[in-house]
Amino acid sequence: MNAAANPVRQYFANIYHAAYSTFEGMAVTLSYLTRKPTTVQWPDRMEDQRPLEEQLPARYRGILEVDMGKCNGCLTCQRDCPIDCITIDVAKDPETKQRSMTRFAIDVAKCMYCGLCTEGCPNSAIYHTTEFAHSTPDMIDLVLEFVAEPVPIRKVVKGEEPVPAIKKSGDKVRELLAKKGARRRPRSVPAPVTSNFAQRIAYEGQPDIEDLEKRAAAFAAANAPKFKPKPKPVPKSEEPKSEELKTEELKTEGD
Amino acid sequence: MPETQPTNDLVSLIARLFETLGLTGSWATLAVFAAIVAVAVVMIVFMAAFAGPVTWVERRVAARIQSRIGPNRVGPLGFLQWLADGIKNLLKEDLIPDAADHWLFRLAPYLVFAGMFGCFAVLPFSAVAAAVDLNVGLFYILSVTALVVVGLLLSGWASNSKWALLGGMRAAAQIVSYEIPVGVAVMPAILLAGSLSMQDIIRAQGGVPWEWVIFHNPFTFICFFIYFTASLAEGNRTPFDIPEAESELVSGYNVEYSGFRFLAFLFAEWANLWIMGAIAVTVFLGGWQIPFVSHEQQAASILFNLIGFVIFTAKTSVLVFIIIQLRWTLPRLRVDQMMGLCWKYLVPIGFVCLMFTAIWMMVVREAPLAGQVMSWVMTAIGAGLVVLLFWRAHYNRVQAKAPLYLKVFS
Repeated sequence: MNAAANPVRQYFANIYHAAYSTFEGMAVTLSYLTRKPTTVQWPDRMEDQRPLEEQLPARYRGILEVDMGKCNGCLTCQRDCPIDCITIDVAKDPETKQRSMTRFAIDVAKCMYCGLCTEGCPNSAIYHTTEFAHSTPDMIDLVLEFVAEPVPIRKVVKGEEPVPAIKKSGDKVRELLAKKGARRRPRSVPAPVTSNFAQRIAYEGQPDIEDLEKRAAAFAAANAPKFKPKPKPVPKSEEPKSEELKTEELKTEGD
Repeated sequence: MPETQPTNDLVSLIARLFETLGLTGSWATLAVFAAIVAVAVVMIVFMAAFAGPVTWVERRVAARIQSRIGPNRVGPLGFLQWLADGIKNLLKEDLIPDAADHWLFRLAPYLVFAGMFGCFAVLPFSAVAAAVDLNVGLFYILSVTALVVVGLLLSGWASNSKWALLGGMRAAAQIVSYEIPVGVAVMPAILLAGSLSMQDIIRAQGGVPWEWVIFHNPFTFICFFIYFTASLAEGNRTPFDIPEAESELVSGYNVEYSGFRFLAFLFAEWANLWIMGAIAVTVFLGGWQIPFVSHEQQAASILFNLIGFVIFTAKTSVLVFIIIQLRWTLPRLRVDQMMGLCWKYLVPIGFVCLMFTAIWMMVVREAPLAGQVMSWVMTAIGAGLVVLLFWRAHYNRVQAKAPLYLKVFS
């Protein structure tokens, strides 16, 4: 007889399932009490003394890094990025006709580590490192500029050997972050095991407020809108006629 | 017979002590009153000393179940986390929403707290160490916890907030419903002991498992689980934390509270863990009874009292641990599932168990040997379940290819 058809049988089946599944669930959670926790207490309570960046699995999605020697400026990553955190500028020398990249910037603050850019890249030039620590008193620090001098774009020649895969070291990311003054802990130095707050501050350093203000002002100046948006044409009638008009106005304001 | 014995509890002991010291008249009354206050202070300190650290234990256990580490920064192994949390809460601004009913809003936490703390008046800790040994002890506990319902409903209503009101309503519906299975499930123990007094119920049992009420017959065994489930629901613990339901009601009835008043709610909630465990130990698991020592001997000796206290605390701690583990094992029930469980399953099964326990008592009176054998069989089944649980846990760990890691605190 079908259990669902017989309410009495269903009643006792319910009791059995409730008791059985609770028992099994208890066994599962009990087994977790005899397992080692997966979580690692970073930075000062790790059993393994190596930097955590070296312990993380190779497929960990950390801060993005670009190998400018491999990149050919195809802009695939820029287009793939769902939140537009990659900015690439390509310029052409009018005399030599040499195309070169003048800017390759990744806004790590925006990046959501989805990895779509790395999947699209034909040369594996952009990839995730295992770097993750990038706390900083200023969000501008997190725009990583991978081009210091214009990088000439390498022409792809048919039949050429592919560029050998580079080691995903994260050196460039560390260098850039350090240059930007992000409050990062140096990788090789393990954190001092201390509960003394003053010691920690001394170790991590105080942000330079004056410098921050200067940089913020510079950033604001650089990003000031170049032109003023056109003033909206004023509707002929003084009061908006319908609800539609109102919402339209709101929308444009929001933009 | 219990009636002829002098009552053995802390307050009457102190009263007798003053009599022997020669205090009489109004001085003696004053001294007894002072003794009552002193016992109450001791109880509240015990409650605080339990409710605080158990929050840390719960967070550590929860973390390990979720493969995390948990609080480990404040003090050794993070043990002082509860103090930090408490101090933080005390330093918070004591906000009362403008639209709230100020009077009731302030009153509600005290009612919840009083309802929980009232239970400690009759909870036994050892043969002598109970504040008062009321002859209606169990009945008193069932009724004094009803004060909590008033408090929760008041806090929900007085907050003048949708979430709080919904939470308070759910709490009231849930606790009132689950009073019934709780009452029905403890009744077999009352039948067996022939008394409502907590100490008498313990004295009617013995020190070894096959003399406990839970293993008396299959029906008391089921009643233990009914009581356990229903008390979880009465204490608003997961899987019955419907009044708090973070994902639906933010935090339920206490959502508008902050500072010390919020702390009072939490304090009562955690102290309730001890109450749930202690009642289950008293009624079903033999209380403070030491194996192979008669309860008259235990009442007479201070050493036996201490051992009894340790035994009682150990049993209660195991139950509290199971309650904590259950919280991190089971998902929350829906409101209709919760009500269905109460009225369709726990109440009818509880009544059936009550009836069959009564019948079984008649059988045992005719054939005592059958009662003995049944107790042994039930004890074996209970032990088998515990062994099976550990074996399944071991099996799960081996299946996951995880090495054994017995460092409980890291």
